[in-house]
Amino acid sequence: MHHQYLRQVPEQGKGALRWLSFQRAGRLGNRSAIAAVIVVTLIFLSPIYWITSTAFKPLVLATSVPPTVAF
Amino acid sequence: MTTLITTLDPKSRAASRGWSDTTIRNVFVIPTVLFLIIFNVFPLLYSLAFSFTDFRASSKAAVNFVGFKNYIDVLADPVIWRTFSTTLWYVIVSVTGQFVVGFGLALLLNRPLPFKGLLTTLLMLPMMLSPVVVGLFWKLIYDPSRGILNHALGSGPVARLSDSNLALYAVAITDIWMWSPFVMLLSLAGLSAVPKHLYEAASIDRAGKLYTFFRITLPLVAPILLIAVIFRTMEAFKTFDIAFVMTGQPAAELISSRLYKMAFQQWQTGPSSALAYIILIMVLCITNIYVKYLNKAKER
Repeated sequence: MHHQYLRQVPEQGKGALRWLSFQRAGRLGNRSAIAAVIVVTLIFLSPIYWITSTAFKPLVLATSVPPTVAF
Repeated sequence: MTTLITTLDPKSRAASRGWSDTTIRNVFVIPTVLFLIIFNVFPLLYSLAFSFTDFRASSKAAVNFVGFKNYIDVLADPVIWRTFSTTLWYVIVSVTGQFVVGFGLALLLNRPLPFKGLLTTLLMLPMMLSPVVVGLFWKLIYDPSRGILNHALGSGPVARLSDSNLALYAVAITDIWMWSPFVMLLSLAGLSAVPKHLYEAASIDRAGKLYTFFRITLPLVAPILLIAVIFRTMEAFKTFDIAFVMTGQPAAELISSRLYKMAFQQWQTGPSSALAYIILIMVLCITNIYVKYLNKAKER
C-alpha cells in the first residue's frame, strides 16, 4: 500500500493554508535564487567592467587616487 | 553479436583511385602521430636526457653525464621544498574555492530562471580571457593606491601582492575568479543529467531537500565533479602565468615560477629538467589517486 506516501492536494478549507505556505516558500526560494545569481554575476563581472571602463578613461581619471568607478 | 564493417562507398573518389580502407586510415593517422612525436614525445625525451647531464643552454661547454645528481640536488634543495609546500597550499585553496563557488553557482542555475543562457554566458566570461591579461588587470585591481579593491573594501592602502602573508591568497582569489565558471559548467552538465524521476520519487517519499541533495544529487554528480577537480588540480599545480605576472613575492613563489627561473634566468638546464620531471611525476601521482576515486564513484 504505497498510496499512503503520496502527497495529497488538500481540499479547500482543510490544510489549504499550509499548502499555500509551501507554494509561497517555493516561490520565495526561487526568487532568492534569482537574486543570488544576479548578485554573483555582478560580482563576477565587476572586475571586467572596471578594467574596460578604465580603458576608456582619460589618463587623469584612470590613474586617480581614489580610483573612479564611473566616468 | 554485432560486427562493425566499414567499407568505402564504391562511388567515392578514394574508391575510384583504388585506396583501401587501411590506406585512408593511414593518411589520416600518420600525420597526427608524426606531429605528436615531433612536438610532444621528442621534447619529452630530449629534456629527460638533459636531466641526467650538466648541460647549460647559455654555455657552449662540453656536456657531461652526471647520473641522478640533478635529481638528488633538486630534492635536497630547501627552496624547492618550500616552493612545493607553497604550491600544494595554493592548489588546496584554489581548487577548494573553485569547487565551492562553481558548484554553488551550478546549483543556483539548475532551475528555471529568466535569462538563464545569458547569465551562464556572462558568468563564463572570466575563463575566456587570457591568464596573463587576467593577471595584469587583477594586479591593477589589487594596487594599494589606485586599485579598486581597497577603495571598495574601505581598507586603506593594503599592498596585498607584496605582503608575504597575503600574496598567495590574492593570486588564489584571481584563479578562483577565473576558473570557477569551468567547474560551474561541468557541474551544470552533471546536474542537468540527473533523471527527474528520482526527484519525483523522493518528493513522493517526502524526502527533505538536504536528504535529496546528499542521497540523489551529490552521488550522481560526483563523477563529473571529480573530473572537474582532476582538471583543476592539474592546472593549479602547473600555474605559472597568473602568479608570475602578479607577484614576485618569494613567499608566493609557485613551483612553475621556480622552474622558469632555474631554466631561463639561472640557465641551470639540467637541474631544471630534473625538476620538471619531478613535477610531472607528482602530478601523475595526484591524478592517479583522483582517477581511483573516480572509478570507485562510477562503480557505486
